[in-house]
Amino acid sequence: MLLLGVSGCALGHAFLDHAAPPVGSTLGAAPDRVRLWFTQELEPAFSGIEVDDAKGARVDDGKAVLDPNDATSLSVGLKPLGAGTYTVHWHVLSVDTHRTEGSLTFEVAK
Amino acid sequence: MSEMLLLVARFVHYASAIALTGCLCFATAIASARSLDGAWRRIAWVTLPIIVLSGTLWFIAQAARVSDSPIAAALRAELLSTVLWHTQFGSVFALRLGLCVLLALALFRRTLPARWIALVLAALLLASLAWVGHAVGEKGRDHTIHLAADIVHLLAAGAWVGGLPMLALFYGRALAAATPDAYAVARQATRRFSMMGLMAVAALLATGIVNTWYLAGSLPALIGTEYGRWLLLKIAMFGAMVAAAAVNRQVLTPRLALESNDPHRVKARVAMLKLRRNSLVEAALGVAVVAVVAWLGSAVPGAHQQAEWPFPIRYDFGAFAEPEFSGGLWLALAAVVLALALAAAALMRRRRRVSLIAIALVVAALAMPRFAVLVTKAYPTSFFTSPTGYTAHSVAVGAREFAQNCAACHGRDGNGDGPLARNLPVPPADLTAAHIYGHLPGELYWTIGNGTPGTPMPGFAATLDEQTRWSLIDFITANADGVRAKAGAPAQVPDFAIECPGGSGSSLRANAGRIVVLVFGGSDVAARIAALANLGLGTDVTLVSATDAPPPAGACAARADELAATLALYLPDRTQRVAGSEFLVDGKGWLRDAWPSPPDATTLRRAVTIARTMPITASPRPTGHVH
Repeated sequence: MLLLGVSGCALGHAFLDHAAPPVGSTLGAAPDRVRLWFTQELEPAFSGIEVDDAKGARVDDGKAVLDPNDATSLSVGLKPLGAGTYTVHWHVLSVDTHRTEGSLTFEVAK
Repeated sequence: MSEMLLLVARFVHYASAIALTGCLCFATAIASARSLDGAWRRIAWVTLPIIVLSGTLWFIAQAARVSDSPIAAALRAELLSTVLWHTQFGSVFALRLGLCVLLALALFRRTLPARWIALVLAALLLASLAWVGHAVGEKGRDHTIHLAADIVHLLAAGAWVGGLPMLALFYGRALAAATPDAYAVARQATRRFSMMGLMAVAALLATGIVNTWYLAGSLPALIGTEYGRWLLLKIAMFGAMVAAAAVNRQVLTPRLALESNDPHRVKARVAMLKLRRNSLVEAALGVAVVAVVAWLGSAVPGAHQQAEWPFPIRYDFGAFAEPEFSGGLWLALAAVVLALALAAAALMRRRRRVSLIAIALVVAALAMPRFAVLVTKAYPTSFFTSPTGYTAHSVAVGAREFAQNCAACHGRDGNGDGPLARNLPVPPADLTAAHIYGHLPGELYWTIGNGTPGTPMPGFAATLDEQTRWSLIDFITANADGVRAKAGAPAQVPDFAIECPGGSGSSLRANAGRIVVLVFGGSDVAARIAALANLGLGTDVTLVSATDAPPPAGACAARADELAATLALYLPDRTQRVAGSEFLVDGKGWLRDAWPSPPDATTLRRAVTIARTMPITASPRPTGHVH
């Protein structure tokens, strides 16, 4: 009876919870980092973020780091970005050893 | 290949760890080791290497999996050492290998204390499996509760299921000896095992409920996902095991007593044969349960898959909150309790049994129709959750699609008064009315995709992709929220990007815990932000300028274009220009105030204080995760 209709905390694999810049957002100024929050804690040794511009060239600094105070948040530094659409590809390993990956885009306006 | 190895290795590892714990538990606490004639020691010596070998194969398969490479490629020292020393899985594996070495040392010594130490080490080895399960993915208090439940679950399984093969072996020896002494020892061991089994079943049941709660999350996930259906199979097999154990305890165990009128002990012998058979059946079911567990461990828990609802109706407890129905519902519940009490009374006493049961049935039958309001129509996608994350971008996409696909009938503002509405045989739904909140997002999703039979509402599954349909729902939600916000109802503000000096990207949700004052302005926005900063509203307040022009120096900024269209929905007059309006969002994302023109300092100070000190207790509708 207690189980009915009440959703417990969903876990198992790390899924993207939210992102900054938010998924699909348009920014006025170029961000210097992309930060992602996941639904569970990550293993940094097997997690990464790659950011590509519209032509497919990498624009991140290649060093995705875990937030020292929040093991669910991974971020990566960016090179100076011009206007355009950027794709963020992420792959993470959660501490319970499941791999997930996904991608999102954001846009920097002129 | 590596998935298969992972599955098999995990299964063998779980099964052997359970068997070892059960074996040592049986030999220390259930039967005297002498009566087992050292058999337990041989079993322990066979199980331990299997544990180490299967654990190592599991580790290798896991390394292949995390590096996304085939098994052969995973056998690199560099990769294996990274997994071993730089992941939690690796640390737990190393620790457990150490436990195995200590366990071997303890098994070498043939003393009673050494046997107890071996039991404790085996229990630790089994319990530490909790640290490589789904529980470690959780945070805070949930992490502690789920982990504790997993540990108790594993230990109870070890003591009970792991002990069953020992019990069967034990009966075999007693049957072979066939002496009165052997029967007496068997009877005593059966009683002890039965008592321990009872506690283990209670523990498995309690912790199993906790784990089901965490992993399946809800009834739809339990019956609507593959994970949930395997879990149900596991629960069914557990039920069968408990039924067999109950027969052992209630029916067969009493028959083990030797009676003077049965000099050849035929009755006791038959009972013991049956006990042995049942124990083996239970053990076989236990092995099947562990196989399911091994599979479930690598599966996505039900709470994270879209759950397909297989029934045409679903439950809806919303009626309890509606004054129109709640009185009748509580009355009906009371009637059902009364009916149950009458039925119980009828079972306990013989006199007037028939009339009591008849009254109970009548009371229950009278109450039943009241419960009809708890049931509502359902669709396969009823419990689907949105993948959009409820962002201003998604609302803006939805608004655009709504204007193109929906507004002709439902009206520009969703009121059901579009230009085509008057020619339709069934009037289009008012998408701002309260009924919108009575439908789950997954039901709106079904209607948009498949239409409503018997009405002019067409299905858009062929023309609009899934993401767009979910965006439409985000717009419909924000639009209906906007109508109700004017009447003072709380509304969750869709997420949007906030860019602050110093560069690092942020967003409304990333800003959680802080109050946001959002200022839509034109050329004068810099002066307004400076004025607000001088008010000293508090260190927990972020001022955000929403402007298409370059943001004022030093202030946080949000892009106005998509945001303006979204926030205009919450203004008293939504056709009004957003420029000059200001919004107050509290630390939990609730919209607290929407001012069409800049408020004065007193109003603003009071609004910030209210937002800070008087939290809204309603729960936001789930936004789902962005997969």
